[in-house]
Amino acid sequence: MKTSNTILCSLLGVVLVVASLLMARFWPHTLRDDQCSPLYQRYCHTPGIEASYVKGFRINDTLFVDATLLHATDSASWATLKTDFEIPELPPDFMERINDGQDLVFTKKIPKQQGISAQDTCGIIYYVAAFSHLMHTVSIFHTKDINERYAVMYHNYDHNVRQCTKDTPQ
Amino acid sequence: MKQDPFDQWMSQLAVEEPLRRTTGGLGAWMGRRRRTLYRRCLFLSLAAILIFTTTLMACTPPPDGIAINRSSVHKKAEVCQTLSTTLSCHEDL
Repeated sequence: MKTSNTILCSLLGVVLVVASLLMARFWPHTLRDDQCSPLYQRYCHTPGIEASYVKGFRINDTLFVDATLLHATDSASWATLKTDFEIPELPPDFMERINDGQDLVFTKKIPKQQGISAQDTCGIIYYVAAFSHLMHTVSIFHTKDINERYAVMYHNYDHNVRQCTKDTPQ
Repeated sequence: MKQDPFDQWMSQLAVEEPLRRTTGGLGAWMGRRRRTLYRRCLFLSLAAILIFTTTLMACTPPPDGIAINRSSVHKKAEVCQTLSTTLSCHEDL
């Protein structure tokens, strides 16, 4: 009786330890609202805008940045985002392209603090914001310095160069 | 030789008390104590495992290195896909 109890308890302990290790490995890591960016906090309760905040988004092998994704679910919300982020209206030929289903993503830097104009002043931390006109999304990459900003902005270039090099027949 | 009644009572007590405790009270008391100790050990082990799990979960980085806000956790893959797509086809404004 005593031996069987001991074995049962040992088994229970082992099961609990294994379960805890598995949970720690596969449990989705979530962030509270106060751990997210001010941009996320500003838009998370706005109707018509789906806000998401991602911590540790991989840019390349050495760079991981935080990112806020704002997705407008209707045209009025998209208009609000365009006003807030000073996204210019596109010329008609660009709009035709978008209406045909071809996306056009523009990137610009935005100051970290609200209310600061986009003048390139020393000491201001800029984020990189990418606007997708087709998907009605604004992706803000929270870069800490100019090197990170360049890495994010030239991600496409680097990616394409590697892709082209790989695809080019020798 | 006749024993003094007090000595007789004392000697009787000295023999009977351990006997009484061993046969009835002490055994039961020891059993109860062992069970209590056993339960305490089990409880402490479970508490230790719980603390261990919580600490491990707090310290272990997520498997893909990405943490996301609670309300978007069900669409994590979609969000990451959108960010990647946005990032991989942009033009400077």
